[in-house]
Amino acid sequence: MMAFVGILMVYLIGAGIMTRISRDWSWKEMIAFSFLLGIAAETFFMFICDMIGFHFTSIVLFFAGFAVVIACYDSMFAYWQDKKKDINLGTWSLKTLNYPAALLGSVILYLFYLITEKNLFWPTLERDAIGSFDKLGRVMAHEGVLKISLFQWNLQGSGGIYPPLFHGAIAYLHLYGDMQHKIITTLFFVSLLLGFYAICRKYVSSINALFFTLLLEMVPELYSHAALLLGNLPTAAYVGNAALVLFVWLQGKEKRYFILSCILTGLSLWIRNDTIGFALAGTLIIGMFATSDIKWRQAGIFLVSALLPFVIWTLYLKLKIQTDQGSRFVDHMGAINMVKLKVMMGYVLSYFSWIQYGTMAPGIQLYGLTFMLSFLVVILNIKNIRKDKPYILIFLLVSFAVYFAIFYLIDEHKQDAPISSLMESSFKRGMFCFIPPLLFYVSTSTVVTGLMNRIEVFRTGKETAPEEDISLQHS
Amino acid sequence: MSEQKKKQPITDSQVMRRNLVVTFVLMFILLLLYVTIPGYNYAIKEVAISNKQRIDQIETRRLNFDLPELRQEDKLLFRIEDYWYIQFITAHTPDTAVILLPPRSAIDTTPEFSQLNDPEWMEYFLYPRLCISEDQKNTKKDLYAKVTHVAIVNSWGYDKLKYEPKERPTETILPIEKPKDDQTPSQGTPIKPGFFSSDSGNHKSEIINPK
Repeated sequence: MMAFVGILMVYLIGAGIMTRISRDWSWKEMIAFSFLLGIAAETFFMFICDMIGFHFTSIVLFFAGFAVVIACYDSMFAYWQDKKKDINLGTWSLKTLNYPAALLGSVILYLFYLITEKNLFWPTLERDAIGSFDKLGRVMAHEGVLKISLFQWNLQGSGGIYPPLFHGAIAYLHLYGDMQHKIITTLFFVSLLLGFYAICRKYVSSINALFFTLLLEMVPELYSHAALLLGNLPTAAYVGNAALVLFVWLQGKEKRYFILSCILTGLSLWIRNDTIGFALAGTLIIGMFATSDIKWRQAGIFLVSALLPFVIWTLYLKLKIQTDQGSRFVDHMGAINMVKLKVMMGYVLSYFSWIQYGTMAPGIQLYGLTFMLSFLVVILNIKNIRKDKPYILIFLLVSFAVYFAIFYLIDEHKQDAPISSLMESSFKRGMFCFIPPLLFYVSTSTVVTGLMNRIEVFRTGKETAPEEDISLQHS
Repeated sequence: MSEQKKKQPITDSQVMRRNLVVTFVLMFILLLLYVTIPGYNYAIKEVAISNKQRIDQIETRRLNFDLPELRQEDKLLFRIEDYWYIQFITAHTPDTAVILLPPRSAIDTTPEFSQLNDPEWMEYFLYPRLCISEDQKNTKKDLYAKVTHVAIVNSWGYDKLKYEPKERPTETILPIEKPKDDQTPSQGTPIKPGFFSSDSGNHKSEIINPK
């Protein structure tokens, strides 16, 4: 029961922050993003408590959250007044019901139910969660500090140097005394799927948006992670939504999306530092594609707000925990290690195809059709590639290049794992972050929206496609 | 005439029929994805549906035997093979204990204990106790010097004790120092849950008589 109070508080904090940014959010956006903001705010409170030497407890965090809710009460109330009329089932009849959308929605909900049941039934069993994330969360909740006693004996596990958002979120639920702390994975999964759907739905038909939301949900490796207590899915929720709202801002120039993207990109680095490539890629596309006179200033603001959590955590590691996250990297960058490059390229090819490499299952097994379908659509869309949201492709290419470079620079000896092992575990899971922006590109591409518009015209019998089917390119 | 026909809006019944056509096509596409793409087949069949069947089986069995709702500990016993031994350790050591875990060489022939010498993994269950593996005695000398208990596994660890125990079960947990009350500690032997053993009558660790 107490856990529900804690979760409600997280949503209220997030909603408060969201309404302070703007009151124009749809309900879908509000629910998807308020959790991401709210839980991050709670981990910031934990961090502040730790910095000032004050032990955090459920009561401390509750009142800190309550203060935010009180501070944002007026905007939340105004939002409720504005938007409560949107909570209705609308008018529909069996004859005009959108059956394809109902089918897709039902499949999404049923798959979600199945994986959530699995997630909540079994306790934490994954090696990384037991050896690191859940252990950090439990001990943080017990000791009320971020720098837990286990650091003294080097028993914190490999996640100890990661920024505290994910294990802080686990600690938050442990503080509320509930054994079902694994629900945190489900909440991140909801934010990922609902955020993707909400943003897609702004530009495409409900069938299109639901179909690609289903494809996102069904990505086999991602789907199995929805029942595990690992940090990759939550990272994908932050990175994916940060990228999507950035694209919306680039297209529509609505300031609220820029602010939200800055915050979510910053939080991507508050959950995992190896997402820095997405911050750099975002900065680049703002500089290249924003149309305002102050675009480089906006790019600077984006970069600074994204890097701020990274700098804070790096300083914390260096000064308080007295460890260095850079210590895992090679200290000479002159010579190119061709053997390592070749192995990494082999794995990358495997992710993107059906070709087996090493002992890892091929991409078609891990990610289903995600990458192959996306590449096919990019090829089919080649005629429009320069005018059909090229910034998404540049964003993906730059962020992937940085992500690849980070792994290339990891020292296998210091990491105590060969590159093949890293490619079969960490790199593979990190690929989740690229999937939401890639599927968004496919969903809103001229090729797919053209096809979906034809379906809509056939389905509804109207000569012109519904307004929402107009793709980003044409708006 | 034909132009006039084209401009006429279609009726609700026609919309419904067309909707159903699109729905059937969509169902066919989804089915095709499920059948032909191994990843989707794995995600839906293995990750989701098989697991649901497994959970349902467990719950049905529990209800048939009129057992109480499964606790997290019960599920851990079901999924982590050596959890019965970990529970035994936590039940027989104080919160301040520093536990010496066996080296890899002592457990590498027993898959059941495969995680037992990994202190990062074991710490999750043993906290607030601390633990260290015998393999780390040269890299974590400070912690090794603080060891208060020895995890006896596969009869390994008796040579670490500073006294002769009364009994020598293959698995137990014993203090490294002889207790001050001059009583040789008898910690008992851990009970392995029945569902791990092929022979349901042999749930208790084997006891080897002291030399």
